[in-house]
Amino acid sequence: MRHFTASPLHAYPHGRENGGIHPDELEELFAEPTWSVESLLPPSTHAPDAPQVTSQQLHHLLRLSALPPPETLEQEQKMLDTLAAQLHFVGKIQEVDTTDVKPLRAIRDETAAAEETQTITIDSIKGALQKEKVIGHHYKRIQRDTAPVDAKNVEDWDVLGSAERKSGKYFVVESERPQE
Amino acid sequence: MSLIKHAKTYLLNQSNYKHLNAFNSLVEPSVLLARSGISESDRAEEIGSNDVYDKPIAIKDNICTKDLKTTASSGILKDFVSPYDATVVKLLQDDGAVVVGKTNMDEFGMGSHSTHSHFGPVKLQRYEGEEVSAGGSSGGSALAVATSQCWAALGTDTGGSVRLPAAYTGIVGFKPSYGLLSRWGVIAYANSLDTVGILGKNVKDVEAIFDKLNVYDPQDPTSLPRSTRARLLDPHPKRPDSLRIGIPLDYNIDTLHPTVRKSWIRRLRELWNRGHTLHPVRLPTTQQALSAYYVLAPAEASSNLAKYDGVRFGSRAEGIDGAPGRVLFAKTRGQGFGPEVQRRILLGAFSLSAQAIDNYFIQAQKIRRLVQHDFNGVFARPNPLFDHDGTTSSKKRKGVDILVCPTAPSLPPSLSEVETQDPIHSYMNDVFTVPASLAGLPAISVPSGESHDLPSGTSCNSVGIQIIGQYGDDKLVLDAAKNL
Repeated sequence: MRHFTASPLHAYPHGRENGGIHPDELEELFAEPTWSVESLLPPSTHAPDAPQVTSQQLHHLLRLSALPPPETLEQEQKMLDTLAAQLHFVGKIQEVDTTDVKPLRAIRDETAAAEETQTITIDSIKGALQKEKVIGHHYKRIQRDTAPVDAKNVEDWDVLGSAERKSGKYFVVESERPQE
Repeated sequence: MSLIKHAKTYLLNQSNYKHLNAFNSLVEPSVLLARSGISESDRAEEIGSNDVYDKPIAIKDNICTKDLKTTASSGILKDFVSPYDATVVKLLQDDGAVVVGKTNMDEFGMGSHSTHSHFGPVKLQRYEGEEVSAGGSSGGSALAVATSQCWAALGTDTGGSVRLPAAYTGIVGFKPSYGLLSRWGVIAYANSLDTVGILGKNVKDVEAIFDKLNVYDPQDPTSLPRSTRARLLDPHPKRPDSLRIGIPLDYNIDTLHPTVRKSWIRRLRELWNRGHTLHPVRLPTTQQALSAYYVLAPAEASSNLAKYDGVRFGSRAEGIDGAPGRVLFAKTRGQGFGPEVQRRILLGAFSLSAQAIDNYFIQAQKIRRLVQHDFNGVFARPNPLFDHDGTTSSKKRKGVDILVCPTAPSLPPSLSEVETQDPIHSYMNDVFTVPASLAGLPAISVPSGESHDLPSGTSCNSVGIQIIGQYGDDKLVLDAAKNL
């Protein structure tokens, strides 16, 4: 709850009781920029400050990415240069000491209450358990209720509907026979 | 305003501004005109207090629609038709909105100028003969709204893709808190950052759409659960008349365009004149945020885009798929993806590789945590995603309610300049939008309200002012934007 009663201690003619600065101070406040985003760009005079990626590593990364290898040496050099420039650009993250910082992997509710509601307990799988029954006397085993489940909304899907090339109920992929 | 009166104007603008390339596909004009044939009495019954009823809305082409192609402006999806509508599209249509078309964008959302598109660049033209960047990646959506080819539009914002084009085209662009709007049916680029965003001519229109879409979706595992949504509701719905406004000094970079700095100061002065108070704050990790973003987004992209092989859906390269010693789908991916997408996939594959994952991907996630800490440190309202004991909240009473800063450091560059630039040069344009994305915060870009002169002798407004709020403070951000 904030209160807005007048106070005699105004620093400025239109001063605010709960503080802050006056707009006339803004010019001076902004006179000195705090940093330069251009500092992230690789220097034009010498090689970017980034780990060296070799030609062999580049080909490996392209395989991992399922992308075609470069067709010429010039193309390969261009790819290496781009990667080096990108790695220089992102290299600024190394400047910060992050000891004991917990990585932020996703924006989600991290409260204890949320964790509790999302915890899977025996209650959450009760429905599934009720469809099982134990049979047998000497060799006790579990039998599942085999009554068909209505899954039309998820199974009524034309799997091949969006495929460009198909044959009967199969997708078609053409591969060259590997050389003997 | 009703469709009957405006359908013809929108259609006329769609044909007049066709050369600006805002749309990848449009519905048949007859669809719009047929809707405007419904009699006023039938209409009145349906409309009630429904603000989106009958409104023509454009949808960014990475949001699935079953009636129009969904291409993400990529060659690999150039003929793809989704078998279902995205939740956000369905919600709008259920309320009577009309989808007018799918808008051009940077391929899969990767870009800041809407030039990396299989269908050619989006062009912003403020006077005859000019061709400048409309911003990206939702440049088509922004331009469609700015040129009145539709009433409002949906975009997506991963690192600023709704806010930046809104700033350049002089309209309003809102990125809600991460997890509020469903991503089901939205083509993933960097799933931990992707949000659906809204573009409109004014804040009221944007808020009307936000209110329709702000619901839990069980089909989206990252949709914020109902229990958390209930907690976000403002416990003190009556807000103070005077807001504490934070001025993030780390957004005062040395390459900030003087026109942008001037608009920023002018806006702050106006806010002060209306009784709000101004408080300089520091968000030191801003300086590493951009670098962290360009590790995280490409890494997630390299994983999200692994499924495009042209086999189950999408377009295939001609002829035999595989060659000995090559990955089976490499040819299709090499032809289907544009150069910027391939560059980012490769960078992502590097940051996730065994030798680099700790120093790059994990380190960037730690920087992301520090960015979130920075914001939590300056806002008066504690972050509702975390537990708080009573003492912290009373100690933090000195914090600010919102942050006010520019949306982009620059004015729209010419398309020829963008074309010759080194690709990483345009990464710098996201420096003011990326931090809020990393922390999942609500942020809106509104026109600065001040026109600046163009070489042609005309003037325009291509400067956006950004308002950022604490997580879940979407309504406060929208309210503040209305007053700006």
